[in-house]
Amino acid sequence: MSFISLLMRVFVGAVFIYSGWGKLTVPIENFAAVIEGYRAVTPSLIPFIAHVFPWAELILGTFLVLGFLTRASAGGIAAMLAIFVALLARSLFLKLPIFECGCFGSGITLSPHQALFFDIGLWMASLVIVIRPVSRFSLDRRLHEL
Amino acid sequence: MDIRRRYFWTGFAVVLVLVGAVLSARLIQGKNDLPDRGNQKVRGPLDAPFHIVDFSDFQCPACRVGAEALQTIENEFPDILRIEFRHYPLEQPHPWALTAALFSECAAEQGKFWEFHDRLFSEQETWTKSKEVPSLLARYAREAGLNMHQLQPCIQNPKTLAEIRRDQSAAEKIGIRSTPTFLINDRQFVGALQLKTQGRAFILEELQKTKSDSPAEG
Repeated sequence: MSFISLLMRVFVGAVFIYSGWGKLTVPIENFAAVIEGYRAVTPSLIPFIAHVFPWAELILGTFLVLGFLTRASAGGIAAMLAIFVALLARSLFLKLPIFECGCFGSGITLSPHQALFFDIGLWMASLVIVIRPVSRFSLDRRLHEL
Repeated sequence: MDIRRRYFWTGFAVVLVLVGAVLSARLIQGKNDLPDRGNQKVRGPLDAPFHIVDFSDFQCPACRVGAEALQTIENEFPDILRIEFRHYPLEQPHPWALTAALFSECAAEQGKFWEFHDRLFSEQETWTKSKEVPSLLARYAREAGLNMHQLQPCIQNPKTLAEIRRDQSAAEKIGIRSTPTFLINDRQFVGALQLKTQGRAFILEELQKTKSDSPAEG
């Protein structure tokens, strides 16, 4: 069980690192346009979200892979995933003209349907980590041993 | 060192490394420098203070809206904009985007790019839903007055495809990931909404700066 939890921790964290990195290393206007497409926030908030979310993804993803503040990082990621799932479900319900979710930068292209199922899977995995944070191969364990 | 301090400094170090890595990646990517194409897909005065490059895909509905937004901006600021079109066909979601790009590139060869460009966008819903896309595009070309004997070999010429790929790789190099993306004097704006709001504001801001920088007349 702990090995599977470790795999989940690394996998969820790696997806978030990839996702944040892909958004931060291209002009932020790309992600801002993705947010605009979901028509869920006021235009004045879009630049703020476009700047903050990718950093949160990269930092929390790295923390999770390293096993640093594991429970809190997984909790943060679960909260973000809950927002993504709600947004995707809403966009499908409203039949918004979104053909590519824009969730993972440009490297992985998923339709809103595919992204919804993928995000639900990641969300469940992150909840498992919140409930049972794995200390194996983690910075948390190292810091407590010092 | 107590556990709180250990956590604080570890977190701080990790975040510092991440910030450094992202800033280095952005530095490597550099500015929005595009190699000059010197092509016929340009309109507007040569000495215009604003150069707008439109990375677009003829089959993408958002690009049609983007082209309309660009036209609105052009009407609002006549004589100070130079508009350039560059190809960025997204072939996965748009299977006919490359074919349309090839036709338009060959229309450009015959100096009829903009007529063909306007036709492709104004009739996008028709040709993208057609079962005979190449023959419909050929009909548009004929109606635009293109020489069909020159058009066919041009479409099949590998150099035409290479021109499109060159536009695409230049776009990818400067971090363009979706269409339409507009560069106004090297500042990126993605989509019609950003062009109409932030892009327009950017032009006004720059014009204001130029006015206040230039000495008062009289």
